[in-house]
Amino acid sequence: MNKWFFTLLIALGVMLASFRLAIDTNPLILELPDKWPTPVYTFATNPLTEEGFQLGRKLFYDPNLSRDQTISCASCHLQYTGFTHVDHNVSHGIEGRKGTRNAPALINLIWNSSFHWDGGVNNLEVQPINPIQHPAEMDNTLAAVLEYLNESKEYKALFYAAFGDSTASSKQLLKSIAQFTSSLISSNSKYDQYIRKEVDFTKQEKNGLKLFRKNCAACHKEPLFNMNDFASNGLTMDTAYNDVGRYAISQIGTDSLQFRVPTLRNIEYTFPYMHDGRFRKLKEVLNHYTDGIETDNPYLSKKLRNKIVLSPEEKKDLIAFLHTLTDREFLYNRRFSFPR
Amino acid sequence: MRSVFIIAFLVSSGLSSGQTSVNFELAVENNENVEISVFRFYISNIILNYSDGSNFSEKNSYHLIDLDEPKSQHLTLNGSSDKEIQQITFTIGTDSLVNVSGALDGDLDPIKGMYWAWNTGYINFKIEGKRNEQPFEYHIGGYTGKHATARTISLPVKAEKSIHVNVQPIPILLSPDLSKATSVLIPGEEASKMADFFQTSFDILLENE
Ligand code: HEC
Ligand code: HEC
Repeated sequence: MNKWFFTLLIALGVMLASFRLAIDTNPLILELPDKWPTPVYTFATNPLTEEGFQLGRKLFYDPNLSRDQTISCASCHLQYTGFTHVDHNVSHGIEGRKGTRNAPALINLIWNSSFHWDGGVNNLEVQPINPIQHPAEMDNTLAAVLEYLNESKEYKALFYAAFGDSTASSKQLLKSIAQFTSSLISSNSKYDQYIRKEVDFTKQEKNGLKLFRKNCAACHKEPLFNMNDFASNGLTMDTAYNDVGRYAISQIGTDSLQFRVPTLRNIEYTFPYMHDGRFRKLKEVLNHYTDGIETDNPYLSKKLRNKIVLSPEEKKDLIAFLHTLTDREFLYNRRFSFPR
Repeated sequence: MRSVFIIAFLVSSGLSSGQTSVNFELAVENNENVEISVFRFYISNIILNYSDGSNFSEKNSYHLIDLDEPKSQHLTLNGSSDKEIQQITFTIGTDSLVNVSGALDGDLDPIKGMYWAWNTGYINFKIEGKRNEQPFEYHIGGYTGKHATARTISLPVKAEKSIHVNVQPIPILLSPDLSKATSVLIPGEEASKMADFFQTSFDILLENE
């Protein structure tokens, strides 16, 4: 009797499983720029589909993910500024609560091997648990988010369309958000067009690129303009938060004050700069690199031990080059904007 | 005759052929010095070694054992054999693979509260309570290098269908080595030491075989 019941259950299970496979999704293939490195995030366990992407996009823009329904991911990650927090040196969450770090730009994330300024997050899929639970961000619980989603007819339909199961689970919630964040690829700036020989640089931009390659590219590596590693670029410890950076994760003394080397793509719009947003202008950043670094700072990266010297003209050239990293197609791409 | 006996045994234990049960007996009766309020840990990658030299490895073997959820303390291993078991091997905690694999479900669902978001990884075990009226709180995890906290142990067994693993954290909680550590909540040297201690609280209840 029992055995028959079991067999029946298994048969039902198999039917359901094949039913799941039978849902019609539209697979998406991310177009990766030529000659770029192989991405770290591979979609092996999260096949990209139009349905999954659109669900993730809706979730990214939904303030109901926060405890008081006021803050969405996009509140701190605004598309027009490269998905960073406009104008705030540190992020602001629900009830105006202040965080301790500047919201990073969300650009070309599939090439990152870790996330957050200290690299504490090891996989793009699990990153959203942080803002959802953080008291100074969305201050919510995964359980409450799932309850909200499972009470919504609209979401039930979207989860079904994306995953063949109308019940929202944390796994599918996280995978769909990752389908959206992983798609945020910026690769059509003037710099990219110049490299592809589609446009030419001005004399000033060319000189800026030269200066960049000499002084900056060892850490902000082309073509991603970041590095999957941590370094101290000579910033003194911020007095407000005493942020020790990577050390908080690794507990290794020499990791003190080391932060992830961030991308400089769309840097014209992602101000304020640095993990604590201490600089508002690129000029201030350059002044830091030329005059703000104490070369006997024991945490300072070896790559910055030789003083960087730039004339005022050269600083202008370097900034002109940094502006070529702006990718308007990315910043105004309708696919990434608030879903209507 | 023997098969009749086995069938009778199987019926009475609720196990069919091809199933083995592993039962975790959590010995946490309130001791006058220790009161345990939260006790949860992962058990993964269970392997049974049979006396004929063969073995069985459970697939996708990740289990969260929770003091507050009696059902979680009784595992059924499907697809195992009915041969005599000589040894059981399992990992207390989670292997490094699942710690870097992104969003997972089942007992590994981050919603279970055994997950760190800010420093990605599973909390391999959680014990909270009071010792000599002083609160203590241990959330032990970490999967990298010398700060790894998963511990694999092998215990001799003499059983056919049911294994009873006795888990006695109280002697460890009362050990003088721990009297200063009242709160360990991040991966690091201290957590890894805790994991060394914790693994010694597991043994097999032989009289139950
Ligand atoms: C209150 C502001 C705030 C909200 C809301 C917020 N974030 Fe963030 N986000 C941040 C901050 C600050 C960081 C950097 C955290 C750190 O370094 O510790 C960050 C980091 C990230 C990163 C890592 C980027 C990198 O390069 O390391 C991703 C991805 C991200 N957020 C996605 C999201 C998603 C998805 C949501 C919604 C579920 C979200 N954020 C909601 C402020 C916010
Ligand atoms: C030793 C490696 C290294 C070198 C060389 C280097 N940087 Fe950086 N850069 C970093 C790190 C690390 C950060 C993040 C620091 C922090 O927030 O604590 C950073 C941050 C920045 C930021 C802010 C990015 C943001 O999103 O907030 C800008 C802009 C920048 N660097 C420009 C430059 C320029 C221009 C040069 C050359 C003059 C340069 N960097 C050379 C490591 C380096």
